[in-house]
Amino acid sequence: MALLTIKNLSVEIEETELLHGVSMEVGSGETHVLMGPNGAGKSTLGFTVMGSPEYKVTGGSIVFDGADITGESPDKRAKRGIFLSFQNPVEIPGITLSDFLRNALEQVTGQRMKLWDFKKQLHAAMDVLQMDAAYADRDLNVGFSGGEKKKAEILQLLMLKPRLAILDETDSGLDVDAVRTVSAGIAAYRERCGGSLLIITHNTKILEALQIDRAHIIADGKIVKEGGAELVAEINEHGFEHLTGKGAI
Amino acid sequence: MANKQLNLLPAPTFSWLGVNGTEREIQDGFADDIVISGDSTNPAGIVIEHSAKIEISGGAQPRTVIMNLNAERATVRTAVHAGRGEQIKIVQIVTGGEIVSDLQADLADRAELELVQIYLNTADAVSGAEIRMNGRKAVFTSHIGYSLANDDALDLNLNIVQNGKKTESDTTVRGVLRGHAKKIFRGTIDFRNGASGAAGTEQENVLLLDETVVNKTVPVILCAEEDVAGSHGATIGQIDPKQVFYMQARGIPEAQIYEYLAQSQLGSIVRQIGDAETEAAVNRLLGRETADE
Amino acid sequence: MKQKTQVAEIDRSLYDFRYDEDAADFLSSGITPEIIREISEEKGDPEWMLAFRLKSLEIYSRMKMPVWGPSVDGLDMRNIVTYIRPKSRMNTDWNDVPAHIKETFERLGIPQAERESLAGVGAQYDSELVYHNVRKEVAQSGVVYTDLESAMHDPQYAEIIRTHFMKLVPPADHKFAALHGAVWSGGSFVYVPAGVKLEIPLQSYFRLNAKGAGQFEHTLIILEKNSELHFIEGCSAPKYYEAGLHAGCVELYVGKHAKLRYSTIENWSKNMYNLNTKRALVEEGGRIEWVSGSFGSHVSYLYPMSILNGRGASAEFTGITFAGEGQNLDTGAKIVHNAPETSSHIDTKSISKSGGISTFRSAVTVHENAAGSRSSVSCESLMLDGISRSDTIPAMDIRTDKCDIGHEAKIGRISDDAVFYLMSRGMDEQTARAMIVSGFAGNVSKELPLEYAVEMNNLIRLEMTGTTG
Repeated sequence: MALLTIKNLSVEIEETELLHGVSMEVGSGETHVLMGPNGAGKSTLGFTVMGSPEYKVTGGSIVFDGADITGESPDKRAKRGIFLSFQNPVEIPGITLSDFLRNALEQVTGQRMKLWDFKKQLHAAMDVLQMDAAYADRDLNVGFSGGEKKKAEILQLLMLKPRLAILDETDSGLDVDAVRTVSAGIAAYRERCGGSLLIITHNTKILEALQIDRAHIIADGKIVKEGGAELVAEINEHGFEHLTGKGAI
Repeated sequence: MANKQLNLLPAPTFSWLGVNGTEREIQDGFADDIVISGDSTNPAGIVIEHSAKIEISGGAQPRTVIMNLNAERATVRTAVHAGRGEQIKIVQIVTGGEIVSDLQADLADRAELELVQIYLNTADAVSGAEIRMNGRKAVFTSHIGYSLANDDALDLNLNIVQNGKKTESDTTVRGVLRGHAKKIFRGTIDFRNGASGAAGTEQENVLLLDETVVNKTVPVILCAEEDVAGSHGATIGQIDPKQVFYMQARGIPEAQIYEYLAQSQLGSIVRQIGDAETEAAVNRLLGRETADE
Repeated sequence: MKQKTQVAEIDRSLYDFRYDEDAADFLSSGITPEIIREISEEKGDPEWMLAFRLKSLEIYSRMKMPVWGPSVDGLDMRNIVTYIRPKSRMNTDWNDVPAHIKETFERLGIPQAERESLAGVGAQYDSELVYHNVRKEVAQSGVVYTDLESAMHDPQYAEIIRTHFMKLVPPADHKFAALHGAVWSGGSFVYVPAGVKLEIPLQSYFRLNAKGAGQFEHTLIILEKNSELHFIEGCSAPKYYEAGLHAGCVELYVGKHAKLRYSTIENWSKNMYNLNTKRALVEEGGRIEWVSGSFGSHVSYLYPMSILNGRGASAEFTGITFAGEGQNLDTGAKIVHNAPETSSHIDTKSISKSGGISTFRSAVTVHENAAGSRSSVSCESLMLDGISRSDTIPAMDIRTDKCDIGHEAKIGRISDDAVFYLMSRGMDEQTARAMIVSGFAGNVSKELPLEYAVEMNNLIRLEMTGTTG
């Protein structure tokens, strides 16, 4: 049985339907890619799986590890092991990255954590991402550059060890070195946790180091094509136009 | 004639600051009674030299009313009714002596009111405005400018009551004080319970050019609704030495820089008048060349 | 003597209040000169103090209630007699402490020992011991930390007290200052000699003794030039008083190039009318830093004032106010720039929840003689629901052109995006909201000693999760 099963999912926001009957499955330990042009509904899908209250599910279901989570609150989903890396992580003044992460970790695992153990883990994870330890004591995402925010998201991924990680445009706006570092973080996650990945992107660079099990192409709120890793290469060469039926003029 | 408490701060504060209100003599009777409503055509401009009562309502077309208040002594009452979806713009240029001006406005659903007020060397003006935004999605924008010198005095009170859902207000105030000029600006954004989605912002920038000026600024936000966004800000003081240096570095003599910056302080407000002739007249009064307009 | 002259000048320029005579607005005071004489005798006041009390009483009965701010109608002034009558006894049995306050203690994890200290008279004893230790350590440097009554009788300090007591906050300042002048009792006296810099903070715990002192306590702190002190008022435990009125007074004299930090975490029980007056006079190059957390009380009027009286003097005010159910907390700060090149900074946060009302009120005045002064005010308010209220009423009175005055205020609510972000990382909604509010209050907790910061965060968490919202 698949880890994540999305069945015929329709979603609207402020009375505009953004997803029209999307279905897909992500198996345990698999790496999937969700690609599509801007505004196709990629992020909508990510937010909906995470349970954002802004997005209203009008039809279909989301099943995670055998449980229907369609109506569940985001924190319950996180506790089940779903993680979404945000394209634009929210700034929370007054809470340090370290405090926040320890709190989140205790919530997700349901266990108190010794400060010392936590710090050790945190610093190890920060090393993987070549993050300066000083970031741990800065307010969460406040004043972080685009690249720093992305790294902080991957840091949380490494610490929280989810069973399914949805990475929403984690590579956008990063320079080559940063992409490499973030990729290393994702690889470390795959290695250590063996969790599933659903990578949302319109860029294929970040996928180079990963073994893709399956690719899904979304356009206008519908899945228009699915296939193996070869589909990524195809998009690389020809773009989305021939799939979405909207040829370049 | 009767003495009356005017320009009351909607939420009074420390008495010793002397900002909770002011008292003035009110003129009896109105020499003029002007009504602009329905299909009236827009007047080119109203010149008010005596006490007057003015009533303005909107019409099918956007309406602009330019009022020129220039009197020795006058009480002017303006009532504005902006009906559903109507657009009204009111420009008030106030010069002269003991002027008491009061503007009351009601905004219905999606009504839009734009208020431009410019006070030039008023000897002793008291001007109050209450904007009641009862309608859903009503919009209020105001641009208020003042330039005072010598013993000029100006007492302003703007009270914006946001009752309607998703109403929006935006207030910009810019002024210059010289000599012994005295000025109070009270600006209140009052978010009433139920005004969900409402937003209001207010900003005052005051340039002080002499050490004998008196500036009082009281920006108030009252809030009884959770789902609102309100903000206000004020910057008061001298010309930024960095600006002076920058302009000097580009070859402008220091003496000119102060005058230049003082004159341009109200530039962005004057531009909101939207009537070339009035703008030129105001600029002349400001001693400002209009070449840059 | 020079000091006195300066103070007298300020008195005239700032606090010259005019009150219209209107008998209908006067409250029946319930206090008579006989009662004042009785208190004075009981306390063994010097003669000048008795005269001062009687004069204050006269001012009190003449003055009107404030015409702005939250209503104090619920305060029965006739009971003031009860509060100050020497024979009234404090409730000292833990069993008599109301259940919700006990529960608060349980949740805060206040140790048993401290809980007993709060309930019993022994508490006072425990606190004295702590002070005693500190005093021993710092006494060698010449620092004096004692209660005001004994200092008044010490020939070494009697004159200092006579020349400073209620000179910054004269009884005519407002009705409750006059009341304070008439019936004050208890409080601390701190004197730091020139050049002495205290590394560890001095802490003041309220003196709850059987004579009912405490509601009108007077704190007088004098820092001579180049000295430094951090004074912490209140304690980590919420206090419970049987009385409903607190009209204390704090007067701080900060000498040339001296630095005083005054921190308060106030968590009175929610039936308290807190009408406290705090004021600092700062000389050339001196600095006052206020850190203030207001959580308790039914009604609060609290605006610590900093009078920057010497060139280059500076003031900083960092505050947070959390108004929950049944609370109307009117707080803020007042700054007077009365010398050249003075600077001030106000940074406040306020939170309104469950029908609570919080008001930020401030006054920044820049006098003609304060060329080169700077001031910035920043206040932010958070509305946690639609039944609460949050008002922001700042005022600026600027009388010189050579200055830079900035003010900004914002009001809003917790963003849904922030809540979702935290929830997506596993926190339930309540925890997420509590965390955001704690972060919002970070400006204050950053300024507090660790144990107080922890305490404050606990208070916020308690407010956020302990009541329905």
